[in-house]
Amino acid sequence: MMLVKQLLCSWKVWVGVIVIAFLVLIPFLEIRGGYLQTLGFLTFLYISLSTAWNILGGYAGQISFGHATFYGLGAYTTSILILRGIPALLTIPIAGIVASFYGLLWGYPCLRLRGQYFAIATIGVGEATRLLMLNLDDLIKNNYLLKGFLQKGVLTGGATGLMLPMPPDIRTYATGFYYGVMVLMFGALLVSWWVKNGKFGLGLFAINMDMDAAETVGVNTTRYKILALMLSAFVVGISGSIYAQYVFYIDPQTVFGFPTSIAMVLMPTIGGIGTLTGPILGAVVYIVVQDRILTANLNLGFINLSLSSLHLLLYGGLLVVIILFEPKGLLGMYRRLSNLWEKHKMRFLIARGGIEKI
Amino acid sequence: MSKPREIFLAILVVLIFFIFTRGTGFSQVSPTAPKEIILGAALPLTGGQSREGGYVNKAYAMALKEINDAGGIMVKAYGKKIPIKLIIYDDKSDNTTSVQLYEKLVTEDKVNALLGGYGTPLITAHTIVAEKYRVPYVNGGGATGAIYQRGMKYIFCIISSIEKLSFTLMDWMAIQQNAGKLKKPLRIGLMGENTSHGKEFRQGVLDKSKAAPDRFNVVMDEPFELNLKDADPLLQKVKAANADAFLADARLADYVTIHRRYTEMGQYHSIVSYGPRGPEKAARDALGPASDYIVSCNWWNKDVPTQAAKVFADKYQKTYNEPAEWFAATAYETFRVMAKAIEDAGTLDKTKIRDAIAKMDMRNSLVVGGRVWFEPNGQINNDHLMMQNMPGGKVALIYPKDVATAEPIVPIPKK
Amino acid sequence: MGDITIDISALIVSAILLAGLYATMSYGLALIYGVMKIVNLAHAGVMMWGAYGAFILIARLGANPFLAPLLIVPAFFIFGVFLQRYVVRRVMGAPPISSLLLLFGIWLIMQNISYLVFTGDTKAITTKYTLLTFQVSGISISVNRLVVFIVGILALVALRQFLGRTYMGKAIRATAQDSDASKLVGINTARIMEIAFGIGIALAGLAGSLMALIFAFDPDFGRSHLLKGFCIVVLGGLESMIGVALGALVLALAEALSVLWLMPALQDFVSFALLVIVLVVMPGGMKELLSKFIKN
Repeated sequence: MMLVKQLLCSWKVWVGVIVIAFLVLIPFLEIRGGYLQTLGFLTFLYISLSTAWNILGGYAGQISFGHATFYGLGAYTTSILILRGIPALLTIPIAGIVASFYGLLWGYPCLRLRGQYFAIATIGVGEATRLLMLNLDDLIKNNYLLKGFLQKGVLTGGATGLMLPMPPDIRTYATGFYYGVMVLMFGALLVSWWVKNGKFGLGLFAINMDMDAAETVGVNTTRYKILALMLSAFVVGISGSIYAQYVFYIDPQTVFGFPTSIAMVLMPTIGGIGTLTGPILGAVVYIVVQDRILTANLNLGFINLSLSSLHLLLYGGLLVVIILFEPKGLLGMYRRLSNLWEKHKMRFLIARGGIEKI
Repeated sequence: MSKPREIFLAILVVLIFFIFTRGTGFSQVSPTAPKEIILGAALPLTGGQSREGGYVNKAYAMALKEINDAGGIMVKAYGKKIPIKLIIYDDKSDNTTSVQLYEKLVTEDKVNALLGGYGTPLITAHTIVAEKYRVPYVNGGGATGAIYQRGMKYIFCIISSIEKLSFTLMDWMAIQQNAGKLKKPLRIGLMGENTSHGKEFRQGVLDKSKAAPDRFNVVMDEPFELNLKDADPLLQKVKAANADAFLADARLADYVTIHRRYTEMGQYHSIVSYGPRGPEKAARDALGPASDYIVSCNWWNKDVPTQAAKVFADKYQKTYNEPAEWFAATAYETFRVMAKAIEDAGTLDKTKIRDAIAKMDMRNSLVVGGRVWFEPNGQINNDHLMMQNMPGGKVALIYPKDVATAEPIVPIPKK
Repeated sequence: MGDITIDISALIVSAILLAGLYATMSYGLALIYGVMKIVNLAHAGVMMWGAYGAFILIARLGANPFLAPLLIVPAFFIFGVFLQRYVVRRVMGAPPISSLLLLFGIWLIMQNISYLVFTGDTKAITTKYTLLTFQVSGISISVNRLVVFIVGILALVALRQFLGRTYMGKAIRATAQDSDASKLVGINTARIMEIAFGIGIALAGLAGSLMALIFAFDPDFGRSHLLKGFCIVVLGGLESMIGVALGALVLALAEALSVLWLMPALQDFVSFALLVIVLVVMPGGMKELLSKFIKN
């Protein structure tokens, strides 16, 4: 009862409730003609990806440039199963599990590597997986044992990709998925929060700071790292599954491609790596920047400058500026500024005389 | 948390809210005659398809200016001509971005109709958006047949499938066989880029061979990854296969790599074709006389002797100071098809525009056969053009007969 | 499909030439990683700019295709020094992710500048050397690729001499080994890093300007070379120039010969799988293997 009262008094909770209510109502408010719903879907999806990557890359400090493998595996698992008649919703957890086990498969040998070596290895894994998926059908079509997996000669569809059957009423379906991905996002955030505040998270932070010291105090670094990877992979796999069911078409370049892996590193870095809310901020900035830059036009009277022709420049520039001036991302910048503000305020008030040091 | 931090956080939340909900405001809703007809497209202006995307963009701009200079499109429902506003976004050659941008065009910018870009994966992905919101969509850059076999009603394409392209090539070779110019049965060395474009091409060749084993025998068939670093291993395989004909499907960069090596190796085949590739200036320049006699099959060429083709070719050359490639021509025509459909429909009602496209029969078009019309699945089913590179940097049209400008030189003369 | 016998000797020759290409495009990556432990993702962008640089010099200004690199190398060296001094230096002590993403951002900027200046249209350089070959017992060798191969060997020799014999080279190696100790013996480590980075960038620019003679390119050029470059550098042992050469040779041979029993489309898969396997099993790569071999 006390707790409820406390909650009701805190303005933060009210803001949170309003925000969530707003998010829930978006499909019904025709803001920006309904575009906000699509934008919302993508934002929630990217927040999930960003948060999931952060568990391994931010908390545990193992920078992976190959997370697209999990995204792609989730997307392909779902698509392959749906095309063979498995009910769509059932494929979602299966996708997560498949991605997770793939993480175990290559994580076990690769997580032994330190720092840069691990990052480079993940690049290799990412590309190797993409190429394997691209050519899998051709590889197994002559193999007596594996041939059975092909359905009309297609398993992954190779370069052509996989097309999912579309329901008659796509718009309602899309709204359903909007809520679905919102649930995923909150799930991912919950997992991230649970990891951060639990013993598991403590172990991961220890590994991040000094792996040898962590090992010395009894943290089973191998097991922790692998678990972090598998957890991360699980969420990313589910995200991939949901993505596939939303756009109805996937191909290897889109879901397994290096740009997707890079995006998953970019977002938490921009927002604030290793924090809970950093990835959220990063994903939001990423989407907003994408949306604004690709579609903006600066009308300076005589010239019409399309910002989209500068999007790589702006993007790269943002990255460079953040890395050079605030590697802890936007969140780091916010904290630094607010600390500065605190210091100044204190000095100001003390100088004014009359305030004891609190 | 201290007060300033709280305020800062509150400001941040409000800021994010506003950024997200503030639109770019292209939309307009009006019961009386709208100020403009809004057309939109997301094109690959950067990324892997940036080359073609650039041409499409220029072609659209050219068509837009042409129509607007004449006052716009005549819309009977409002009794006057209305100018067009064209919105172009860059989808970075990325499927997800393409889908997102087409969603934006439909929902926020409230376009009246959509145009397509270039590239099968992009088009496969974003056409779903057009269908979802029931907005008519025409493109001149995604030929893969599978796109139009999904039972969609609002999607149209003015270029025939790649499968048909390979069939045309094979049928043409059969004619040469009948005339005694090509061996029968013909041994074919085949390779194609590992994309849906390449796969469809190879499949077409394989299908025709299976259907007529007395004519064609595919002795080698290999896909290859994009951005080949060294074509030698593949070409060694081609050489060892002892084929009579060399057929490949590659985009410009790989075509350059492959054919340069082919020439260096001194290989010879009585017929060489890279599918749609070969006749364009960039391809000729990169290979010089080594690209002579290459036979190609695609959707348009600047030397097609029809009025429409010539007018477009000249205008594009004059406007942009470079020769047009086929995807520029088909993009230009796509725009005109959409404009005509709106005019035929007499209204801006999306379903009526869609119906107008479906039953369209546009004459004097620059496409092969001069007519634009659509099969029930939304794709045109006209012939392809075949041409052959001639010495001196020239390109001759060799098929269909009514537009041919020269006799094909078959087999390729030995050095 | 019939019985086809491929000329193995021709395959091997082309593989050796390809190895020269692979090595040339990887030295810069290996040097920068070896000295500064930085994975230079902008390497792709530098190669692309090298290609466009060659394009301007050769196609627009009519320079001799093999002399153009002589202008490009010093220009890119200076560019590299500036980049290190004013940009990269600031992330030297930071966790690896900072340098990775910083250089990635720089790559994006380089791409955009190319898009603005040259558009996304694919460019190719055709000179009188383009299709020139000379025949050696029935095998045709492309002059352009041979030049790249020779440059690959020369670069290796030059780098070994430089790193092994000159004061500057030894200073670079010392800084790479222990930067604090180097400072103690009076080496201006900041200056050394600049020079090393400059050389790495110059090597990438050189590679790009030579590759422009062989491949068609657009602002996206270099990406696949960069990824392949990782495979080669890892295979070679990450920090050794001769390792790069060996790694390039092994990879090129593996790819060429894999055509015999594997789908050609899987060549790249083999490269990346090797990357991962080598990192996990033998991070020292070929160099380590060679050392062990020599010891025995």
